[in-house]
Parts: sequence; C-alpha cells; structure tokens
Amino acid sequence: MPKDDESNFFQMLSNKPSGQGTIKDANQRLIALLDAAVDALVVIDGKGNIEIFNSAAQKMFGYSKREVFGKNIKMLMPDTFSIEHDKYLASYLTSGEEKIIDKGRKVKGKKSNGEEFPIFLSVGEVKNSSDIQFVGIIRDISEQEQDRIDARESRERLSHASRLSSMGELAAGIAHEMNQPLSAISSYAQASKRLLQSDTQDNKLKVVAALDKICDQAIRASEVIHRLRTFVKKRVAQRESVDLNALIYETVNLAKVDTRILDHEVLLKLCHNKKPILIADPIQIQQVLLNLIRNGIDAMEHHKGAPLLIHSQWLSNIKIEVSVIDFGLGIDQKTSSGIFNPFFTTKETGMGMGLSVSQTIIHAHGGNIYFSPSNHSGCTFSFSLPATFIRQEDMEK
Amino acid sequence: MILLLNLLMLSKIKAIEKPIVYIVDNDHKLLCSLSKKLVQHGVIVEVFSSAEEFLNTKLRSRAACLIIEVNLPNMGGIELLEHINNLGVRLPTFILSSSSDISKAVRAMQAEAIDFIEKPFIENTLIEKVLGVIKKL
Amino acid sequence: MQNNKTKHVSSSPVVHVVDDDEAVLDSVGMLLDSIGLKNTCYKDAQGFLDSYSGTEFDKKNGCILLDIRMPFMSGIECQYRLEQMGCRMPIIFVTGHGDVPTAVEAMKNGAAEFIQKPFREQLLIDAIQKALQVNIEDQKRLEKINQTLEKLASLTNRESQILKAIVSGKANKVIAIELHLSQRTIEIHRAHVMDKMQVKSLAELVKVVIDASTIH
Repeated sequence: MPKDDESNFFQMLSNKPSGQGTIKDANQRLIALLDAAVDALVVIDGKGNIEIFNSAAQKMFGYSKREVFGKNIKMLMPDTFSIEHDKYLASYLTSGEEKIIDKGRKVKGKKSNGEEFPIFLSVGEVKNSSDIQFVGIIRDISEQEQDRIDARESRERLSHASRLSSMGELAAGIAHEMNQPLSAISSYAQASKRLLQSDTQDNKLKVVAALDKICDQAIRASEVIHRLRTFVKKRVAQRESVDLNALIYETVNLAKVDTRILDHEVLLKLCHNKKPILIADPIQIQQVLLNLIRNGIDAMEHHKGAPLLIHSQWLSNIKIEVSVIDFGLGIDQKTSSGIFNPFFTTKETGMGMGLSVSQTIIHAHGGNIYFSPSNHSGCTFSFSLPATFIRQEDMEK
Repeated sequence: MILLLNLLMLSKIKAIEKPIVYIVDNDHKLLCSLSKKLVQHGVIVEVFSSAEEFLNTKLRSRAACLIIEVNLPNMGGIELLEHINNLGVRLPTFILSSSSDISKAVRAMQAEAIDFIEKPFIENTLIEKVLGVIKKL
Repeated sequence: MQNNKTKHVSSSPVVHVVDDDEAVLDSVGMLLDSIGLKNTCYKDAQGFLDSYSGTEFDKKNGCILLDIRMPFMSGIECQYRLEQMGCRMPIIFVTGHGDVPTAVEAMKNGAAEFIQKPFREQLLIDAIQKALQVNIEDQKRLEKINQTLEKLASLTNRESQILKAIVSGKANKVIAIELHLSQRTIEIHRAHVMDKMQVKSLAELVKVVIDASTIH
C-alpha cells in the first residue's frame, strides 16, 4: 500500500465527524479493510513488535492475531533472515539508510509449523503517527518460485540431453568421415589390381601413384580418430567439482528415458560415509556411466526380471571405483579382446563407438576402465577415477 | 436344404466381398494388434508366422494387400517377395523390418515393394497406408 | 570438372560421377578407367546439372553415380531436379551416409541402386552394367515410341478415326454403319492404316498404340 493512500486513509478516518461513529467504529472499519486485502499486512513498531496482523497474514503464516500481538516480527522469519532484519532496522533508525524501506525484496518467511517459504516483501514507514511504525506487505511467491525452478530444471535437462546426444552425433559423423577415405582406399586398390593385369609401363606408373594415394587416405582416416581424442580432451578442460553420488542418481534418472530400464530394478550401493568428489567434466562422466548402464540393460534383454547393480567403492584414499553389474549372458573369450576397439559391436544395431569413446574419456581424466566376469552369470564393467572425499561428519558440522 | 445352401452361399459371397490382407510375421503380438485394427475397418486378415506357411496357402481372388517382415524363421521376407514376383503374382506389398539394413531395404524396393518400414513404427500410420492401397483397387 | 579421357567413341557409354570428396571422385574415376568405362567427374550436383543437356546426354548410353551428402545440393535434391528436367538416365546412389528412410526415398523416386561406402567394387560394377543395359533398352523403347508417334501423325483425319475404331475392337461392318461409309471404304482405309503404321496384324497395331500412350 503506497504511503499516500495510507495517509489519506488515516486522515479520512480521523476526519470522520464524531457524529458518524466512535474511534472504536473507525478501528473496526480499518480492521475490516485490512482483512479484505489479499496480501498479508503486518504493522510493527520501532522495536519490531507486531501491532497489526491481518487475516491474510494469519492464513499465510498460520498464527492467530493473539499469538503474534506484541511479539517480535522475527518469529515470522527464518533465523538467517532475522539477524539481517535486526541490522536493517537498527541501521535505518540510526542513519535513515533504506535497505528495504520503499523497495520490494524477495526474502523467506517462516510459518508456524517451521516451514520456510519464499515471499515478496515491501515495507513502508508510517510517517504521520506519533510512534514509529512500519507497514509490511507480504506476498507468498512459492508458486512462482516453483515454476521458475521447474523451468530451469527442464532447461537444464534439455541442454544435458543435447550435450549427450552431441557426442552421439559426433560418433556418427566420425563413422561417416571414416567411410570416405576407406572407400577411396578400396577403389584405388581394386583399380590397381586391374591395371596390373596388363603389365604396361604406363599402368605401373598409375599403380605407384595409386599406392601413394592409398597411404594419404590411410593418414586421413587416422586423423579422423585423432580429432575425436582432441575433441574429448578439449572438453576435459571444462572441469568442475562433481559430487559423484549425485551424478550417479542423476544418470539413472536420465537412463529412464530408455524405457527398457523399467524392466529391471536398479540397485545402488554407493559410498555415503566418504562422499567421493571428482574434478571432472560431469557430462563426459555421465556419458560413460550411461554407456555402461545401456550395455548392461542390453545384455539382459532376455532376462527381464534381473536387476542392474551400480556400486561404488574406494580403491585407495585417492581413487574411487564405480561398477555396473549385470546378470546377462556375460562375455566370451573371443569377444573380450576387441571390446574397447572402435566399431566393435556384437549388437545388431549400434556402431560400437560407446566403449571406445568411454575409454578415451576415462583415460583423459586419469582413470581406468575395465571389465571382469562376475562369479554369477553376467558381467561387471568398472571405471576408476582420482577423487577426494568429504566425510559425512565433516558435512554435518 | 436348398434354402440352407443358398444361405451358405450368400454368407460366402459376403465374405468374398471384403478385401483380404495377408500378414507374414512371427511376432505374435504385432500380428494380433494389426489384425484387430484392420478388422475394425472391414478387412479380412489372414496371418502367417513363416514364408512357407504363406506359400502353402491358396491366394484368394479378393487378396488386396500383403505385409511381410524381413526376418522370418526360414525363407526371408524379401526372398518371399521375390519368389511370388517370379510366380507372376502382383500384390501391393509392405515390408516391415526389425533390423535397419539398407541393402535389404534397397532389395525390397527393387522387388517393387510399396514401402519399407523399420520397427518400431506407428501402427496407425501403416493401417492408413494399407487402407489407402486397398481403396485404389 | 575433371575429364578422364579414354577413347571417345560416340556409342560408348559414359558414367557421370558426382561426389564432393576429392579422393572418392579420383579413386572411382581410376577404377572406371581400369575397366574401360568412360567417365566424367563432378565435384558438386550443381556442376553436373549445369553440364547436363538432355539432347547430348540422352543420345548416348550412360548412368549417374550420385553421392547423397554434398554441400549446397544433396543427391536426393539432384535426383528430383533431374526428374523435373526429364532426364531418364539411371541413377545409382553411392554414399557414406545412409539410413533406411533415405534409401527408401531414393528408391521410391526411381533410383536404380543404392550402395554404401565403402563398397565391394564388383557390386558397383555390376550395378553400373545393369543400369547401362536398362538404359539402352529404355532408349530403344523410346525410339520405337517416337517412330509410332511420327507414323500416327502421318495419318489423315479419316484414317485416325478408323484407327481408333479398329483398336477398340469394332468390326468393319460396325464402323461402316457408325461413320456412314460403305464397308468397302472402311476396308481400304484400314489397309492404308496398317500400311502406314507398318504392322502386320491387329494385335501388333494395338500393342504399338498402347506402348506409345504409356509415355504420357
């Protein structure tokens, strides 16, 4: 309520001819007006004690008028804010410096049940009264805040997904770029074979030229792979502090996009006492974990009830290991030797870039990726990374 | 007796009036789902889980459309299409494929298939296409 | 535009290779040379379209090897343009970038073949030979149709009328009644028609007329 109307209002009240009612009536009219307001209205004195608390405020904070009258406004604020409030009040009263007066601010309120919620608060000084009084108008912005958070979260999810898919596109692009030099090599070789069938000097020279070109194309193909490694390393430069447990939870949620994961229970056993913290590119670590999860699910395509386990354990004080354990068919000797090679795949679909890219990422982070057959049927894929830890006790201090 | 025979003939004639769609696929769930939807549109559906089973059946005169899956137990779907082409049979054919194989797709189109559709696919879109083809006959 | 010159014989077929990758273009050119197939190479689709001239290219036997993923104009777009221009040369797509929907679309739009890189050379050579064969037969058919159209144009109005009636299976007697002419007159016209159309039987006449009408 802007100050002008306020003063007019009080004037209006005080100017009422006495024949039309007593001060008590005026008071009741004021209360009725305040109670009709949609926003919460709170009036406090110079010390911060509550003098007026309209019904919107009562509803918002969960207190009756009686419970708050005479008490300090701090009871409506979370502790962190209440300290600030004393400071503001004190500084305003001494210096006249406005930190919150006349401006609106997003702060937090505290309900009678202890629940904190976001509010928009604007405060005005009641200038004409003989005592110092402040009027606060409070709006509950929980809904808007939630909408903002939801919007930001879905934006982040989207950009997350697109960053992950860009690595997939990268793999597709690499495959295409490899096809060109390989095709040229094949054609040059075949042409050379035919040319050699008629053993002329001219043809011999052509074959030599073709062989040179074959070498060039081979180098070109290797450069394509080289560029993948460089791309990955460049991204590794975007390192930050990563809470590994939280990342794992997030990745499992992301994996739910692949609905087959719903056919399997995902059981997590992570280190909570010593929380692992990585210095890494979270997107890339997620890419690796997602790859292993998908592989585990694929391996269990025909074992619908089987669970997928994700475990983490400390190998040393500075190395954390994450394992993805499936109960599928397992890996045989023949398959195992080529498993980290690019384009290696036993699946009908898929290009076989996943594990190769994963290996590149883990190595770039100074870790290792490996697999071992489990003592049950199935396979355990693990990667280890350098990490530091925060003890649970340290966190709670 | 004659009345009964007449009635039987009448019902047979009525059945013959409806167009027939043949589906050759060993995915049982898909066969059921597609059949149900097609039958709702007044089409008779006959299903087969192998190429051999289909080849052992006599083609009816109201045969209107054929849907074949590439990956079948013995003779493959595209071989089947090529085979019936050689026999001189001309049926509008849709090929479904559970694996994305370009060379199979190309072979299918060279064998005059109307379309080559990768699985998973939106069933209603296929149904619409099939009905469209039947209407043209 | 590179020109791989082998012996230029007007009847020898020409393979037109369109690919934006220099190494692929060069190596395919070399391969075709080693088989003795005359070829011309283009680095982009627009370059090929600019060089394409229906009168020149269609006179010779030929086919087109077309990449899909090219800058500025894709292979699919190029195929579409060629169809618009009335080009009847068979198109063989040769691409390092392929997925089923693209392949199906290319085939639906009339491609002769769709080959993925890297390819077995025999596959490409077989596809080219087949395409050239189909092209020759197509050209022969077209030639015959043109001749038929010329012959049809040489008929008089009356003869055309009678041709129509004959082809729809009407007997001379019936035609005579419909056209208010004597049967004898009909027989004479009929003989002229058969003569000008250079056919020996009614069945042959019907066949050439139907063939000619399929072109439109």
